[in-house]
Amino acid sequence: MFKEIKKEWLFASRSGRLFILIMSFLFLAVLTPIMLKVLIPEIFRMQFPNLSAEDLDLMINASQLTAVGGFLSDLFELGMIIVVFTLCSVMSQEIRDNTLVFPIVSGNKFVHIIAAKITFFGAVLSALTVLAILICYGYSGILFEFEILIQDVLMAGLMQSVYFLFVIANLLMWGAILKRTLPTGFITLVIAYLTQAVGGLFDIHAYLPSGLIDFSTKLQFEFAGIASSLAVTVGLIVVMLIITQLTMKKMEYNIR
Amino acid sequence: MIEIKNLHKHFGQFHALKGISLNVKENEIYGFIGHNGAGKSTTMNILAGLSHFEEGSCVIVGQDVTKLDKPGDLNIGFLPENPQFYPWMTAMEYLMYCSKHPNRSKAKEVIEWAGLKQHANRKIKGFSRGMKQRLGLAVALINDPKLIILDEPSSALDPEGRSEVLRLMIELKSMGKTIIFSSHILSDIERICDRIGMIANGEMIFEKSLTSLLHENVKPIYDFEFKNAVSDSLVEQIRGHKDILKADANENMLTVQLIQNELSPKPILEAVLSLDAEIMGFSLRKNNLESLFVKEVN
Repeated sequence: MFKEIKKEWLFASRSGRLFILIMSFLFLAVLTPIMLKVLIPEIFRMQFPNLSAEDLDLMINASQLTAVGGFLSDLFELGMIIVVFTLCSVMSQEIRDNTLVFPIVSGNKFVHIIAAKITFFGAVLSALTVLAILICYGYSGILFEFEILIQDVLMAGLMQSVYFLFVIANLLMWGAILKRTLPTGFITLVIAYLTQAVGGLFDIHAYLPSGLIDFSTKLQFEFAGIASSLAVTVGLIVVMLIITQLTMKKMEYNIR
Repeated sequence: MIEIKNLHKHFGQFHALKGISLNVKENEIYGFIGHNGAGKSTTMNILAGLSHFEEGSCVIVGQDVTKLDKPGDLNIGFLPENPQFYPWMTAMEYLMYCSKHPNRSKAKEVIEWAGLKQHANRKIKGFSRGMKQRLGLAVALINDPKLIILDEPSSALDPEGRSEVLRLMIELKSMGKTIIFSSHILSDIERICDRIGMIANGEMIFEKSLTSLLHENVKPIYDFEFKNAVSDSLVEQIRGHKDILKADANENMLTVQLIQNELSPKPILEAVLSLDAEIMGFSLRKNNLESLFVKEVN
């Protein structure tokens, strides 16, 4: 499977996708503390010139906890869109453009092709999430004060990483089924935002992948809730990968 | 090497293959001809394990394609009509990616064979159509398969590129490979094939060796060129020959049609040589594959 992973690395680095992901994650990580420290107070001051500094502090509640929570929230809301539309072509376009014909006739296994994609992009997104959250943690700690435990931050990063694996599995499965890039991206986004909305509405985050986002953005870790959400997410990832493999096996290739 | 029997394939309501049967022997170049949309690429895709069929049997190198876990288990080389590569990869990287057991020296050897040595480390996005076709042939060869399936390998190329691809195919045969290739450029088929199968509207029209096909379709017509204009008396003399059905003259050209197909040219040549006229040359008219193709399709 090494050569398939190397291929994904070459694809991500040479197509500019890796650069887009790195820049987006780092931008969000640095932007959130700056927003809280500089931009939002400045906007409030311009809107309410008579507001005292104490009242302003009460209104904004700027702290490391708010900054890190805000970053994690942005990562779900904005980062998700960037991730989905950067990676929605990883499977669908390969099938549509017939670029899989040579590799599969040459003996590359479907399971290796799929595993390489989720492994590589999963690793990239996990590393970027953890790196970005540590940057946000450090930078917000410098700007405000260190008030969160680093293990909580790492835990949040880990849960976001597992959630990104769920997103990639969606992109692979819908990409294999639909064979179209934009519909794959849109359906993945709808699933992500819909589960978040449904989880919040019926208070069932603990039984949905959205629980990982909910717990991580609040930086509150309740073992039972996390465990069930984690189990459901991992289960869904496995099911989606199996469906992807079966779809690819049954598929006809080199169709005009 | 390939044994297909009564193959049926539908695309929705469209019956693309209507009971195709064909047989490819070891170390031969088999030309698969047919007009656009006849079912050539569909058959090639089935042979490569990339497409399924509803009825019939397909055995490739001793393996039933319906029992394969994945297309790669066939251990064949395949060049599709429109080969698609990863444009951001170099030719060498691509060959390594398509190798079952990545080996740099083997990849170098194959890339050199395809005439792409100088372009080995160039990105594929900068390759011309001909270079891509040659890279496709290199990919088809990288895992050292016994059978190579080529779908319209020369169709989109200029005459120089076509000649180069055909030369590589002859080389593959000399390396002991069996090749089946589809084309609608019949002159290419005539140049290199041992046997030919013809498909039209999803049905197999014939499957014959090229030599017997051309031999069977030789027209018993000779064209003689004389130094001077052919006189009427000369034409009358020839018409009197027992083996001659018809003779016509046009200035210094004399066309003679024989009664039988299989007749030796000797008696006709003797008869013409006995005439009191100087002959500059003669030729036997042949049906080329193109006229046969048109005749069969119609």
